[in-house]
Amino acid sequence: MIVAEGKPVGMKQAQQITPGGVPWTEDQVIRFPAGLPGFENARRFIIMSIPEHQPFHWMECVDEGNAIRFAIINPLSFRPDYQPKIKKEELASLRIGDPKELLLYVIVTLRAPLVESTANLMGPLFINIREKAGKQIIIENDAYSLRERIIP
Amino acid sequence: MLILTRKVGESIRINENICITIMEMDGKHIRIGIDAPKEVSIHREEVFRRIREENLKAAGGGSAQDLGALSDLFKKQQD
Repeated sequence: MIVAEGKPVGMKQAQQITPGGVPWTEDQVIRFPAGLPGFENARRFIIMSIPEHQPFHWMECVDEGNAIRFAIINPLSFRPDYQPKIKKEELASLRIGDPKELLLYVIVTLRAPLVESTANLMGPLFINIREKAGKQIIIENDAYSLRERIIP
Repeated sequence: MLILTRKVGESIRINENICITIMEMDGKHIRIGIDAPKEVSIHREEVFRRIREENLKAAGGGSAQDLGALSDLFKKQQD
């Protein structure tokens, strides 16, 4: 679970249930104002970290009628050299002040057999944890694979 | 779909702030210049489609059990 720093949580927030059946509260929500390609109406997500699933996390949509969840991973945990070239303007909507506020994930596609599962290095997710805003950026050049094996 | 005919050097304006110019033609290749506000994302359609298809595939597959098993495989190969 991600809890924003510097924002004291006052009264206990009402717990709700995602369309996928997971409890959540408003303070967990990260907004993707444009949705994600293929899921343009999925705007609000929560990130769940389950100790047994590390270094993977789940990113689940909380918007009604959108029972969507993605397995995600910090790409640096299996590709320490990952450094996509991104124009500053692409991240403007995230209003990054301090680079430390920025979280980086990529979406995992689980495959059978599981060892062949891949991560999408062409479409990384950038999240400003202070603003609780996220965006999937499309890397136009061919430097990174759409389907990069996580376990080589 | 709106279809317009343009010559090299001519442009199309979309709203007040997006301008698309035909820069150059070379056989089957056409170079296009796009002036748009910084917050407008512009992508080649085929790249956008690949990302969308992969997102759809990623959202469709896998249970908590699968991710647990993948996590185990990941940790094992890191040892």
